[in-house]
Amino acid sequence: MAYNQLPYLAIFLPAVLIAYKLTPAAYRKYTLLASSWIYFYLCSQYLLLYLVGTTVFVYLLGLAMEKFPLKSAPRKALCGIGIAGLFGTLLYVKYTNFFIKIINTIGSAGTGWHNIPGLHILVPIGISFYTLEAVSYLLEVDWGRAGSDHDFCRVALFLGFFPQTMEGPIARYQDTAMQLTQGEDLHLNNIRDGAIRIVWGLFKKMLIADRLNTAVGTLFTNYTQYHGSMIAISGVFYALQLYMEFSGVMDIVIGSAQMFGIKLPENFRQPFFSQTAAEFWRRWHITLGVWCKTYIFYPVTTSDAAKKWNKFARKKYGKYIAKVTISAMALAPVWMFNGLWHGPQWNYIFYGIYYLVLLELEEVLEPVKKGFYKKTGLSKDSWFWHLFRILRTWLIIFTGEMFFRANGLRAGLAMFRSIFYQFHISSMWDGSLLKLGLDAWDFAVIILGTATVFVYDLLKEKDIHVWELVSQKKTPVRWALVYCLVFAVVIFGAYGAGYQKVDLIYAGF
Amino acid sequence: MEKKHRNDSVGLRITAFFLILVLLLMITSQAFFRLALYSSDNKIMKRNSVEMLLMAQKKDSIDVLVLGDSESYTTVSPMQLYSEGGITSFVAGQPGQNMAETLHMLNVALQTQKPKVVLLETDALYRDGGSGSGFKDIFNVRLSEVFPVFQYHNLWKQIGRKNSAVIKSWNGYHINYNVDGCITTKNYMRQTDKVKQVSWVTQKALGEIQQKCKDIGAKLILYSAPSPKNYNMEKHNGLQELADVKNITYIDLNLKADKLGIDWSTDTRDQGDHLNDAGAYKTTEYFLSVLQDMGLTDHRGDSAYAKWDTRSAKFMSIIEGNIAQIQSDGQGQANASSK
Amino acid sequence: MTKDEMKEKITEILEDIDDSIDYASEEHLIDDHILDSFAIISLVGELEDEFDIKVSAVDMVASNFNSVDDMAQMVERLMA
Repeated sequence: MAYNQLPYLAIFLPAVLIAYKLTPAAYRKYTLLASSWIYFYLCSQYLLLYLVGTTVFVYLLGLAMEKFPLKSAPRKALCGIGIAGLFGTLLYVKYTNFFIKIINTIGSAGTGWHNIPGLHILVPIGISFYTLEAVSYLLEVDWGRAGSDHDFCRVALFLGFFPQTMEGPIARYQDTAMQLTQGEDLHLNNIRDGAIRIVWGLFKKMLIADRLNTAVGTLFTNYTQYHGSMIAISGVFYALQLYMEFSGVMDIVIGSAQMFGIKLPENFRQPFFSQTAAEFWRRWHITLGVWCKTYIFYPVTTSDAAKKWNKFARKKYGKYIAKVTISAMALAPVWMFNGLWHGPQWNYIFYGIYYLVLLELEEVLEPVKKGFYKKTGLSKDSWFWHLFRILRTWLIIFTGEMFFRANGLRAGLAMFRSIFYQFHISSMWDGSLLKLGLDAWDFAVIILGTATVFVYDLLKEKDIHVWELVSQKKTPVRWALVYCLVFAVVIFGAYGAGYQKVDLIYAGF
Repeated sequence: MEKKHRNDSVGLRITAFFLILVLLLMITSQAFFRLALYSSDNKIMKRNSVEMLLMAQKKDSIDVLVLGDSESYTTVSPMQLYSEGGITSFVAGQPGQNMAETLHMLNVALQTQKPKVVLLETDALYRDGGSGSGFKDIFNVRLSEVFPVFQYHNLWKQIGRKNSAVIKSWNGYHINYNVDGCITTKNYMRQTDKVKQVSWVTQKALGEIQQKCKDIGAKLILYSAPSPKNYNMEKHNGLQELADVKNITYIDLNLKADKLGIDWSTDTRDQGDHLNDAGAYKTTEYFLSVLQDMGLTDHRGDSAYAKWDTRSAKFMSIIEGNIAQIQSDGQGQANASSK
Repeated sequence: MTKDEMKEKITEILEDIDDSIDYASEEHLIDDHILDSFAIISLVGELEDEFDIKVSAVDMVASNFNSVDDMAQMVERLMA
């Protein structure tokens, strides 16, 4: 029951809203929890036990940690056991077969093991997401930034709140936990704004992402049959598809929560206006970036080893080298983790390394950049320079997403290589684009839809919020706009006869 | 007092908003439904086209209605049934049709037709993978019935377009003479006591179909198309059990494939998933004998069915050519592999 | 060291990291993404040296770094 489908939007969500409304405020959290676990059960059946088990596990650990003072060894040990247990489970469920394959490959080179059969392990929905949230809870308690939670229902909702189940956003404990058990009354404004946000999300997903899906699938499956120019286009298409799909679903998710008066953390902030790769990652899948920063990057950079090295390097080699080496030290685990978190595939690992190298390069080249600005007298803020940097970042994004989507790392590398051979710009207009399963009408919808989203994002970037403006207009204008949006989805959405149902991309991670 | 007044107006506004929404949905639905009736562009209509073709059939002209997913329109050829036995039929099957859609298709047919026999291909009975997907199908079909815009919305592409591709289907049957043989068919119907159950949502839908057939006095027959890819003994057992309980005739062509003379190296288009023209010819011959035994009227020569006479003659000349080509292809392949 | 001296010192360190920002008026250095995490780790190193404190992962929250005032408050707390 994906969030973009009618059974969720027209039956499940309204039913939960009504049940929530009918429950006395003090018990509403139980209504939410029951709904959330029912939702999980509908997606993954008895694998719900994984979620319940994880909840009980971290809840009990939280209570146990409270018995020991801050920074004490037993408290740290309990937290360590918890994290090991959580990641152990995640590794077992998602990565066992990957490791078996590696062992088999190594084994077949020498003697010994090479015939270990793969295991058939069912993966519960959203385990990559709620595991990170569980780790957040344990670390916050360990560090004393959050108290041990005595309310089992709150811990359970923090990990399992139904809109977040499939693909986040990955909340830190302090972001959402307290709101979830508040039992806030339903407000018409919240429901209206949430509903509009949901329709906006459907617009992005159904008009643009799902329509592009056919072309993306064709290009990435049959990549050997295409010129470099078409391969380059495949990266652009996939980046566009992924943005519209993931941010669209996030609109539905955040809009759903908003109906209950719950504010989930945002996952996107107009990523395509980023000027550097580092900025891109502060605007794209934000909650994963924040999680990595809070629980990997800062702990590494503030560790004793890092500090000792920092002091030593600054004295011996100067500030520049110290900064560059420290960031390399902290970025390496962050990006290895980011890559692997997406799944046990070499192209995801490569994707992590790709950004590790780029971000580290940005650090290393910082003085060169400064010198360049000084020498040429160019201003960082001139519109031309601004645009140039944005377009350069696009190239980085498109290339990265191409590797990310490729059917394996080998395919990704072959595709990348082919961009530099046989690049025929004429593919753009010689009709090649119309042989990908999309006709001119489809492209018209994609272009107009993307333009709409672009204008919306551009205004948001300038701190102009379209729906706030609209809400000041007279009723007929407001309603007309909402009807337009609804019917754009109903009529121009890529669903029904002739379209494959597109699974949520990030729900697969 | 004042607060109450405000609440009233809010309630009113919400009601007004949704009333207008429903009204707009009805208007667009009407518009798209009309568009669909006059549209013959198979490329845009995709799997909806057969439904429109069904609606366009002359009133009470179809004696045999075939329902199911792609296995249905690759096993029964209406033009052949007419050409050789004068039996009028229509295959109302869509790719990947589920039970909710099958029921819907029967309802559509019953608006204009009074079939005497309904053949239901059974692959659709296993399409519901459980976990509530059956409910989802029912929901989607109901929604499209109330607001056809959800079913026909893709027709916006048709607006302002002149030449559209004409449907190339023969009362639901699609010509196909590709050969992609299948070599691993041996014993796919191995004996077993295992039973693959049909989900209860599907069973309920089947019950409804059975009741509808009873109401109009049509005989319902379940049949399984020969298809090593889709069938095995577990499914056969499940279907036989279900048919026995519900007292429906069940014909499993997978057990008769040898008798029908299906040659898996030439008679399939996609390695044992679907039959091609040569395979469908053989299964249609079988159905012809079954239907003839049921005493259906032979309409050949009846002036009211003159169109059927000319169309079926044209169809048969095409099919005979295709079968000849398939056989020579098969010969060529066999020669190539023996060399 | 008075609080004002401390703030002056912190501002000096900040200007050394990026001199294009008016630190006196900014109150959302982190929330508005003016300082990135690389700047923060440089800053933390300098602060630790200058004031002889130990900043740990626990202290790495936006509310400790959003303005010079916030930073001074954190330093004061960690010196105690």
